[in-house]
Amino acid sequence: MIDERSRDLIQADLDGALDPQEQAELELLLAQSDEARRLHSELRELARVLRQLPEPELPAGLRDRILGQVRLPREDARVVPFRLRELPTFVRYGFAAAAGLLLAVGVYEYRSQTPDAQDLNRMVGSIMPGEGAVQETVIDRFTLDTEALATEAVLQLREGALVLDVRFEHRSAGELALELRGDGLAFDAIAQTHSELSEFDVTDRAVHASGQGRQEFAVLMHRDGDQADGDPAVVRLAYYSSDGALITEGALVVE
Amino acid sequence: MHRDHDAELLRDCKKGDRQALGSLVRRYERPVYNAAFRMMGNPDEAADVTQTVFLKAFENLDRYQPKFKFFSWIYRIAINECIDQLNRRNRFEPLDENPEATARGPVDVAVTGQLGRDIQAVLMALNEDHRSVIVLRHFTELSYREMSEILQIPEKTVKSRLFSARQQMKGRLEEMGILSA
Repeated sequence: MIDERSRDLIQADLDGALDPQEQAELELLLAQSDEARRLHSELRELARVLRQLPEPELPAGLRDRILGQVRLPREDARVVPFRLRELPTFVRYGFAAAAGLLLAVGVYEYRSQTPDAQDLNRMVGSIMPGEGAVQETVIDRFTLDTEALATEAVLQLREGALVLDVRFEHRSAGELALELRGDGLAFDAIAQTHSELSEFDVTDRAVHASGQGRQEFAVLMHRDGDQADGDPAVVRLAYYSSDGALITEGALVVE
Repeated sequence: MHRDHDAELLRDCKKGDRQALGSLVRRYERPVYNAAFRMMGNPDEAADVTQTVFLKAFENLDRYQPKFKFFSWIYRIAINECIDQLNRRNRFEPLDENPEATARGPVDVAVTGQLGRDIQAVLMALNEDHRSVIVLRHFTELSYREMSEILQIPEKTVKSRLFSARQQMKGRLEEMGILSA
């Protein structure tokens, strides 16, 4: 029975991983042991057979498919200054949120007509589909990880719907302001999947969350070309400390 | 492979440079596809995995840590994606006790010759851990250290797993008369 050291030396030789000292050790081993020589020969033969396998041909169009789907971050999607608090006062609507509420789902409908249960289910399903393949394309992304705050906001097309997934954690008390701006961008529905913050308010084009802890929510949006005002459609994000100081701000651009 | 230039290309990708993206895709599409093909044993699934690997890699570019090599990162995504896909496939398909049958069908098109089919079938008969080390060592020619990084296991485990996988392959290929006993 060949020992582990001998086995490692033989294998390393075939893998080109021996240093000169180990090479000398292997040569001595091969000179002294029939079993080692046999194993060395067998593994070398296996490697030779595996090398005979032809490399599979790349499928036609694979590169184009990859390049067509991969989205890169945009340089202009990083920092866009704005102050949510300077916006005109919107009519604020209460939103299902409470401190300590875990894995609750709240849905808010902004359209004038009252949606029925089927509509709501469809909207929630659009935001957070169940198991199964879901077509997703990331449009833009914003991430930050500091002592005070960790956050990730991902804007994507999910099954053809424009969805913004937001996750953030205020490690000390703070607030998030999210605002839709430009070119006919509007909320359709919001689903909250994790809420530890004390306050979560939604207006027709903004979300405001404050407190300490983790918050996760998804926003279903649409872009109405008829309301285009010439400005780029942008989701703006700003994070503040409890004393109102701006920690960071950024924007996700809807192309 | 010009692995030293990867960091530069990645920096450009983070600035939105699609030419840099094209360079990285050209550089790694073939080895990633090759590895995926050997893991999956099926060209269509390998193509899907390859596409997903690049999507995931660039979607998560912010999470990439430059202290690791890009190819290690992308191979890790590839191996994990293959294993996920295989697990999903196994939930819907009965286990096949006959490894030769596993490689029938699309593999016939992609790997010409009986020898190629037989070897791929033996590869498919290995469990995923063993197949991963064979694929990374023999088809992407990575070092023990690189394999250790990608699979996130100690080098010692890489070596023992590789030896075990080779012994299994050798035994099966001897039974099939491809290697002399």
